[in-house]
Amino acid sequence: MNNPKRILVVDDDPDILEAIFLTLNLEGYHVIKADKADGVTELAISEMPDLILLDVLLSGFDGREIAKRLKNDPRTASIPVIMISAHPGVSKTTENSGADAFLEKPFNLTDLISLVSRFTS
Amino acid sequence: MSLSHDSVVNLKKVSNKLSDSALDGAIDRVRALERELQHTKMQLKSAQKACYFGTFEWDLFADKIRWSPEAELLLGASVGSLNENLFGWMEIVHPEDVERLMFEIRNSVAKRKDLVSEFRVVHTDKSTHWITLKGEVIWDGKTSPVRLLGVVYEITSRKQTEEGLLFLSEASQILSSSLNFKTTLSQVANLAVPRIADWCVVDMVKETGGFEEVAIAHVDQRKVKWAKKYREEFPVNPNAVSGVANVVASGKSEFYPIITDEILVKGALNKRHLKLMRKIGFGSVIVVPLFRENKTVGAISLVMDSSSGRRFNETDLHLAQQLSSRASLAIENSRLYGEVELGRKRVNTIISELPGVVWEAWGNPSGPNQRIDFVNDRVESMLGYSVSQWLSVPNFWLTIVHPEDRQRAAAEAAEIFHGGIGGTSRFRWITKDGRIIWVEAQSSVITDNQGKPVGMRGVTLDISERIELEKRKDEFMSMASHELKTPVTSLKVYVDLFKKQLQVGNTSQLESYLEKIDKQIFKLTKLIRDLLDISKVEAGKLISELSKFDLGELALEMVDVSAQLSDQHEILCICQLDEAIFGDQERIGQVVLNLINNAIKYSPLGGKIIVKVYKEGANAILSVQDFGVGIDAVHHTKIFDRYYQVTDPFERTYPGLGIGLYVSNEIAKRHGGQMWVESEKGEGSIFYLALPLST
Repeated sequence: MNNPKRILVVDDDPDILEAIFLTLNLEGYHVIKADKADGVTELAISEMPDLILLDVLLSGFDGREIAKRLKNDPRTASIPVIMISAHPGVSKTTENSGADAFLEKPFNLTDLISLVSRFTS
Repeated sequence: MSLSHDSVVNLKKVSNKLSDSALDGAIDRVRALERELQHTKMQLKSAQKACYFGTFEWDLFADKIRWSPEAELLLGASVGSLNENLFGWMEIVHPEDVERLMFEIRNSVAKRKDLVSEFRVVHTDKSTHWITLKGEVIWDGKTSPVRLLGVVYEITSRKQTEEGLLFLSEASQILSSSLNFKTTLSQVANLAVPRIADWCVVDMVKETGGFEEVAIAHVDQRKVKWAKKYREEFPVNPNAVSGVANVVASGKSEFYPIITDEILVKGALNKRHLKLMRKIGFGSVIVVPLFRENKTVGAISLVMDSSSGRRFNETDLHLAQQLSSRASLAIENSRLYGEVELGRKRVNTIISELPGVVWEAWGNPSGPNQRIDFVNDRVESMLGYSVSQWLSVPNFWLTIVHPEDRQRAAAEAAEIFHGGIGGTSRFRWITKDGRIIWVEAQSSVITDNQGKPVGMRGVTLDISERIELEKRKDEFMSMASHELKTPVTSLKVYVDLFKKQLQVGNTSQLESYLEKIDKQIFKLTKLIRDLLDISKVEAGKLISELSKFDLGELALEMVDVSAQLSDQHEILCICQLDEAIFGDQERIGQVVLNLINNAIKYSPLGGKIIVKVYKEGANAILSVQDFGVGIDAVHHTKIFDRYYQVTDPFERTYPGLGIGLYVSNEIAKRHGGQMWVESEKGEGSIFYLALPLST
């Protein structure tokens, strides 16, 4: 792969962050990690990833607010956002925030991989 | 007018001067008259005998009275012994009646009226008898009275019946005047003396056994003392074969018309007993039982004093029995009233203490004309609207239902009403000051004789707290599942990765995956342990091993553990405590760790965390200060509640079970300590743990 797709993963749980990083790395993606909500928009603007995986519940911030901001910013609006949460109830509210898809925790590795590949191909 | 023997002889002497034929005719007439007279006398005699009446003829000029033998006997004198003049026979008249009788005689003579008088005479045996005297004054021409002719007859039993009835009616009045039967029985005893007895005692069976003298009255106050002394020395013997105890045991009256000294001697327990009994002077005794719920509960004793001369007869016994049945009725009423009153009090207390609205209403609850005719006072403090508002505004309950719930609440109420059985409905009420409270109405349906629903009654409870707790519990369940899913997510990813790498034969990373899996299992275990703490709190099994330990050292240890969790925070520990505390070291360590973890969690931008341990009074204080997001004052006490999480939409994004502070506070409380917080939103927080120092 000459030009690996670039994916920004935001999750405050370092173990999940690491697990997703490893998985996507093995699939040949270039993964940018962020364990805080702080500075995520700036990171997205500077890195311009092909896809953003965003946890709904972040210490101190609501992932849905970040998604909204990204989608409202013309510089980042075109980047697909997949929200991840252990709350099945929030899947509906993620749609309102402009997120493109929702993945419920815990997920199957194959589901994650197929979802990511769908939004990056 | 009678024709005596003497007058016939005189008639014969006169008749000698008359012609024979005329004489014969006259003698025949006289004989006829004589026979007639004799017949009349016989009739009078038998009438007197049969009807107990006597006759008298009083020569007013000579003041000489001729009494018939029957009259003398009636008045209590032996034949031929009764004094023949007015003042003389007045000696046998009851002293209280003499003046009145004299007046009535004079009045009758002066006003030319027939004489009718009722008075008492005292017989030689001291017994009192009521007599009616009826007389006619004979006049000499039209100027002066010469004779008083008349009859006397005894009316004692009629008088006794009259007096008895009067007494019973007065006694009944007293008995129905108050529901305190001890008071009324005492009043009745006072009424009975001296009218129907010389003394009266009321004994009641005590609940603890034995007898209680609830009333005593005596004509002679001194004798009350003796009677009391007698009772003190010789209480009612429950096994006695006669008297109060026997009457109570058998439920039957006892009647002793005359108590002779012989009876006293026979009944005396000892010399002292006999002496006291003689002193009290039992002349005649009636003992009647008192009932309650068909059970004998006491007795009324009526006694005639031996010195008064009065004795009881069958009429008195009958009267006493009537009195006892009326008194029994009063006791029963008093008991029933007491029960009703107790029940009423109980219900009233429950109604007024019930944390809800107790109500009764007529008509369809969803219709426009439902009328509420009872609500308890509690409604005012619960909702702010006055009771009169509830009672006067039709369908008031529905007007204050939250608009979103109104239609449903009305429909549910109508369904319950028409269903005819009763049921439960939950809705929100808006209080007068605008608060919203959740209530649960439990209603039953009032039906008419045909079973048609006519109204409803029930209790409407404020369940806001319950709803709040249910909501928090739901949130807790969702939070708990989230918290559990997080390590499970990692676990699953590493297991999947492990399998995938194994399939492609790449084994270089497998070891590290297993380590990660192990770490997630450890996290899960810890979470499950936390969850179990809640049930331990509820089972009261939170604290186990107690020992003396150094709180400062424990704090340092926990700071060391926490420091590894975050490299963005600088945790300082200042310890100024020399004394030990006594408690469950592991649990207290859990509290300290929880506080430091919270400090880290709620200061996401990093910074200092200061842990202090010091002495204040008899307590050891441990404080943990952070400079993070802080907590609004409204949450300061609630954050120690079970499942409570700050519900600010911004702040709620912090993960957590919402049980850490609850469990910590429970641990503190179990050690006789407490926890509190000082914080302002945006200014960081200081959490305090106070524990009593070991003494």
